Amino acid sequence: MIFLQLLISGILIGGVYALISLGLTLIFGVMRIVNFVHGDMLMVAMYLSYWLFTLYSVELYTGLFLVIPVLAALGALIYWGVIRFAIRRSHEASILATIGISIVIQNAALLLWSSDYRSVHNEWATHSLQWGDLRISAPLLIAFIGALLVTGLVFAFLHYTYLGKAIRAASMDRFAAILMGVNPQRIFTVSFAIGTALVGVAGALLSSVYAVHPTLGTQFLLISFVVVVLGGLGSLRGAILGGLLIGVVETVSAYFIGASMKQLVYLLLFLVILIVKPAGLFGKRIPEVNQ
Amino acid sequence: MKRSKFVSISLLLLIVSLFVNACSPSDPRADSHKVRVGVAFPTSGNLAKIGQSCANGTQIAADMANARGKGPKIELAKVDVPTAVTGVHEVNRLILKEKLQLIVGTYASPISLAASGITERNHAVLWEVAATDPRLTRRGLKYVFRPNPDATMYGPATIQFLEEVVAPELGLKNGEMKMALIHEDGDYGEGVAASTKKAAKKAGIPIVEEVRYNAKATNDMSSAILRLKNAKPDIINMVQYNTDAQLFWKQAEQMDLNAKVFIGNGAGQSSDNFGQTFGDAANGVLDTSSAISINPRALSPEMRKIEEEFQKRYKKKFGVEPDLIARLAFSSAYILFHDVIPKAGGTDPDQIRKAALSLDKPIGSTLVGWGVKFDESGQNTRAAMSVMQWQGGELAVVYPEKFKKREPAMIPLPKWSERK
Repeated sequence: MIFLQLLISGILIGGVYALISLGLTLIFGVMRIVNFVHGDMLMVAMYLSYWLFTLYSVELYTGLFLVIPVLAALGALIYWGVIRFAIRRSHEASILATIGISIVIQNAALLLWSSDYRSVHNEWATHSLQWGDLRISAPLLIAFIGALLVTGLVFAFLHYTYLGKAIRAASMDRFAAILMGVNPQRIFTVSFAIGTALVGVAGALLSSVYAVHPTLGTQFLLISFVVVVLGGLGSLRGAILGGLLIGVVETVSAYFIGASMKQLVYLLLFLVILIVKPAGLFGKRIPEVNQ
Repeated sequence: MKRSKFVSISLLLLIVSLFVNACSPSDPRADSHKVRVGVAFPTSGNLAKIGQSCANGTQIAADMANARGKGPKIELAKVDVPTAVTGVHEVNRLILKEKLQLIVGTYASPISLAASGITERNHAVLWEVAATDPRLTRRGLKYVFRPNPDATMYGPATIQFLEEVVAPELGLKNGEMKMALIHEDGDYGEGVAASTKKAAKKAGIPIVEEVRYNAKATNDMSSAILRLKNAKPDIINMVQYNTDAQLFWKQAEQMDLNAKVFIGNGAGQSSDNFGQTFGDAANGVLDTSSAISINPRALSPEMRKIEEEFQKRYKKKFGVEPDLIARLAFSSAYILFHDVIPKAGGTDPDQIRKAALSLDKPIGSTLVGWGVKFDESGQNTRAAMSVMQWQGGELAVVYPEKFKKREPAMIPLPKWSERK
């Protein structure tokens, strides 16, 4: 029974990790940008839904549909303002640029919203489904289903629409895609906007689970990098599976070995997988420079 | 081409900075009616909320001491020290470049431990207003003073409360009260937990489970909660920061974790954000802490007046009510600004030490109710912890008897299923 409960909890938190990692893996897959702003976008999305809820009593799951377009616009703005100048350069350029934006956003949040820990506390926040002794957290279950739905949608978009196909083409071979008449700037703007909107979904769904504060992003950024690399850079399937794997390993090892040891366990697992499959679970080796 | 441009720009900056240096006042110590004091708190980063409150409380303490005009006028030089590394840099700069000899800080133990090495080496005083790591005053440093209690005092205070109030209320003997600990695994969590275990052992209270976790890397508490559930404790003792405390309490409700008593140790459960988030669901949670708002009855008449003035000034200057940590910072800084500096006639470290060691104030003579009597190590021996409880969305002192504002209630704490 305990094991089943641990498995459920692990899968649910794994869903959270997957949901946060989806946008990161999409952006990396298409643009080869290591995006350090990702965690802060999660923070901004959580603040947005927190304020929508507190000031205008917009329910979290309704607020989702307001948060998504705002985050997409913010993503496009960041791309146009900064990232597009870093994209054709070395990795250091994009890393420095995104870390810079991250610092600006964190401190802007500190200035605007102070360092208080804010959290939505409605009846959903602590609701749980009961089944015998098993308990399933309602907000985490919704986040998990959200992660699956969103992955399905993005997958369909990438495979069945012209724009999606163009994005995939640009991620496979940027040069060939340009020759075929694909406008790379447009593709990158759209991908960055979608990637940011995806983390907006995560933020809206998680604002009743976690207390938001200006440096919340860093708490999730490291783990989502692990998830993305584990699953294979750029692979949506990989992000889902990587998230679930880490979630379950983390929860089970926290119970049996000790909660302060759980990082050790999943990072060891991470190392082993990278030794066996250097490109991650679903990753393909992609030539490094490809412009 | 690019390189030469870079070199010329840095040269230019160097020249400008030399020039600015030369223009600055030669020695701020020269003016005997004015002293400058460094103030170093983490006002950005993840400790920002608490750090800002500390800085605000210290500011009001300086304002009020200046208004009384007993000693030289106090000017504050505030710096932001979000981490131990920045703490070292900034404190170094304040001492070496700004020629300050007295630093008020730092709230966080790692920052304080690092900064105290710098102040000691440079013959300057560190006046610590909130950090609780016992090592701060146990390394034989001459110029470190701490008016607040250290972490080893949490455990005995909690256990004493359990023995004197909880045991009779539950009708249990010490040996029958099973206690479980859940704490973050940094210096703060480990230190408080160690003191609690020691005191519990002495009192014969059995510890049935101890769960450690990393506060920064924990996004899910369900494994920890399952372990606690399995141990079936009567008392759950938490040592948690802000985000983890909120996550723990949310998931405790989701997973139906029940115990007769939940008692925290400062930080997470002390924060006003805990009450803001949970409202009625916070009610009944106890918290042993040094940052206290005690019954005014226990204060000396003079202190009652000062308390009112502090409240008023704080509200006016910062637009919000002071929280507990701001009160603590104020209380500790006020001792320095109002009692020590005038007595020392300035900020000379040896004079400050002499003045601080000579203080002898009875219990109830500071804003938070403590007395002041520093021992040779710089630790205030008349500092004490109290136990507070969330009642009706407010954190009120319920123990010790002398300081309490309200009666302890909700012992045993109703189960989650019976609370709505």
